[in-house]
Amino acid sequence: MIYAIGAVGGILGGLFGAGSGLIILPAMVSILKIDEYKARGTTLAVVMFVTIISSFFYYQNNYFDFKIAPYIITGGIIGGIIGAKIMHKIPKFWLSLSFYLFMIFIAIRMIL
Amino acid sequence: MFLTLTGIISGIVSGLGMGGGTILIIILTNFFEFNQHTAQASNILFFIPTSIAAILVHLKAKDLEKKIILKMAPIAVAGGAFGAYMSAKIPSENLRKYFGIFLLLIGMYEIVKLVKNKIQENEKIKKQHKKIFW
Repeated sequence: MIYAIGAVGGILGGLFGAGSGLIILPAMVSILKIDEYKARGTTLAVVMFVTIISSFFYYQNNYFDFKIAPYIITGGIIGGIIGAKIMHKIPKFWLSLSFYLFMIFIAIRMIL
Repeated sequence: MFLTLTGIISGIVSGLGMGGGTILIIILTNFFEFNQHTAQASNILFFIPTSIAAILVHLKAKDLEKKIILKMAPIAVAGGAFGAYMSAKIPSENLRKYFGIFLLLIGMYEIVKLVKNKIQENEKIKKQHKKIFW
């Protein structure tokens, strides 16, 4: 099971440059029965390896835009700190629900 | 400026554990007109530095299942190499559609899970109320 989760998560992660965590984390919690907090760190570590290997292929194909990266990364670090701080202070249910509804809306737009 | 804002939004979503990478790609392709490959590559560049800190925090707190990492990572890396290789073979417009399908499935799965959890929680509260009442 561990191998299957890794394979599926890895392939999708390489293909889309994102999303392997969205597969591996829930699978670790529901199938491998790892407690959610530990599963988060463990998932991140696995995804890090996937990202490093993917980056070689993306680099080879000249997909990286190093000019814009610093802006996004700076924002990401600020946002990450804010996110971790407000994590327990927000109504997770409604926020998550609207986030995933937005995701579905965008997904349909991208497919059509 | 707007790119930094995009980074902030993705960072917050990552911090909340809801898929910051997907939202970054969504914003870059839908609002900045990036092609799918460049948006995905930007997320890869974004993920590495922003996640190292989080991993170190988990490592310090001994919150990593090292055995699972050792077993899962090699397969995941092989899968990742295969996925990234395939990704480069797919034209950007098609990849965008496949990514859309992936998002659709993830979105639906997460909503079903959310609603299920919410119903279970409400049942629990009801039961407790009954106990108190009796």
